[in-house]
Amino acid sequence: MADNLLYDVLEVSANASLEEIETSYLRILEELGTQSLAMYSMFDEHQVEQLRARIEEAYLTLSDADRRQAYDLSRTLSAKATGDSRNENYRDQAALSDDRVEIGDLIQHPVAEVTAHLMDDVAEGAVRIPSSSPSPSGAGVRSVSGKRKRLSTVALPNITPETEFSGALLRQLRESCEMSLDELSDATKINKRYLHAVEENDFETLPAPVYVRGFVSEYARALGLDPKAVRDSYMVLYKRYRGSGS
Amino acid sequence: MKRKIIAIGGGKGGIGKSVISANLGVYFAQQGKSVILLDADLGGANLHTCLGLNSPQRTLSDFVSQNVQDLKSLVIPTGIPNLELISGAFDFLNAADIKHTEKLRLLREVTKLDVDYVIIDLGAGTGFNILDFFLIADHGILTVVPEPTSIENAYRFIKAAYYRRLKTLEMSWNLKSLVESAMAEKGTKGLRTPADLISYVERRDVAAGASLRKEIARFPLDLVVNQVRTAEERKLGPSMSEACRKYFGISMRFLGAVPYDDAVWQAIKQRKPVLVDNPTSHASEGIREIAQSLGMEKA
Repeated sequence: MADNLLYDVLEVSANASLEEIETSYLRILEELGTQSLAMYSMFDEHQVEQLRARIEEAYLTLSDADRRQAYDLSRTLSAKATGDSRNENYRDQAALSDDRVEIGDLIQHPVAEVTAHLMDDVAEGAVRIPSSSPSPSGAGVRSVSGKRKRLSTVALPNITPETEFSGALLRQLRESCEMSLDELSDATKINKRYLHAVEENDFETLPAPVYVRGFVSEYARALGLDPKAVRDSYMVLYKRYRGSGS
Repeated sequence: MKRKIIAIGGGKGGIGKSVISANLGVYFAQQGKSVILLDADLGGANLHTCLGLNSPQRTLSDFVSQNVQDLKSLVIPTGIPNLELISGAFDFLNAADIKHTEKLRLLREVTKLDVDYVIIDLGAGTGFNILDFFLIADHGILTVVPEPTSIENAYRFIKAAYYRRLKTLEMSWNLKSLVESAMAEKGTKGLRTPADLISYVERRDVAAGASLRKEIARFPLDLVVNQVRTAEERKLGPSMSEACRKYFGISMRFLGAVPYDDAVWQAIKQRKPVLVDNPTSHASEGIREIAQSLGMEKA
């Protein structure tokens, strides 16, 4: 997956301000919407919808400070991990063009479908954009509209405020939603390897705590769980492993 | 200077390919370069008319029917110094149905022509014959007019040309099989934009993806917008170029726009190239600018 993908989709630099992101997002949507002669017949209706969903998805992540930070962190780590191969990728990209929408990704990513539905529901006022504050329901479960199964409708182990969110439990919850690790990776923009490490409580592979907190928050958010509750619980386990916390 | 082959296509008929081909030829000839114009619009040849040549003694049809070996023996003078024509006039009724082996022979001979510029006027449509001539060019110029029908044909042409190129490219076995499976995938009707395709291949094989990316980048596509009447229409060129880059991953260089100009149809009626009939007209200026952009190295 190209490292800069979401920023490229919105045609902004990686350190663009929120205002720049919003402006660019609106401009690109408008471009797609108008019956511009220059793009006549380039795409069929289905492709336009997919392109739109892709743009909405990028905006959802980059316009939210927490999600953007988690995304940026995972990009940095991916870059370090892949090292030379990434440089080669960039060289080739520079030869062609840096900011190119990979429409092929649209066809593969189911999350774009989910996002599209989510946007409809947001427009109708039915769903609040996720925030950091814990939900009043205490169990940390919030409804997520869209095609994916709701956690609240699935038979789960009893989740109480005392529940320890270990990696194994997270995996169990993920599988209850019928979400694959690939799908979760797409949804959170976090490398599959780190998500897997979170599930395995593989603290050796996981990087510094500040990153792990971000990963776990995003994991929780993607499942419709309260990020803070899950994160705090997971970090207890993490610190226990690491001895004195840092 | 190294010989350049320029092909002019556009998918749609009647948008000025022959006029632009002929006048580009005139321009380079006026600059002292040796130019051969080739009328590859099999079944619809017009170049001889644009140049006011009545009954060419030798034509492209002879290449096939007389089994002529050397294309140079078919050139005829145009009356303009340095400019010669291989005409398509009087082609037989099924000229467009040229046999595959004959086409290959013709393509080979075109690449052997020893002049500064070979300018090929392609026909309308996106058939294999047209695409193959387009793909041997160093510069493939797409011509459009600011109408949705023309734009539609242009994008169809771009996609057709790129698929044709992929089919005929020398590829490593791995890349070839990935491309084939991408094209065959259900739900996409085998049609993918170039950017799509690169994405698909890259995800499965980074090296093959990189090599495919390089090939697509080498696609030598230029754009000319003809019959422009308003400032808005002038923007069409850069907009299409940008859209192509963004969404197709193809770099299409906008060369320039030719304004709609009465001088053009007046010249055609006179059966003279507008650069000769009315060299100070706006259309002539536009064509000269385009020729000059062509001369510059690709960015």
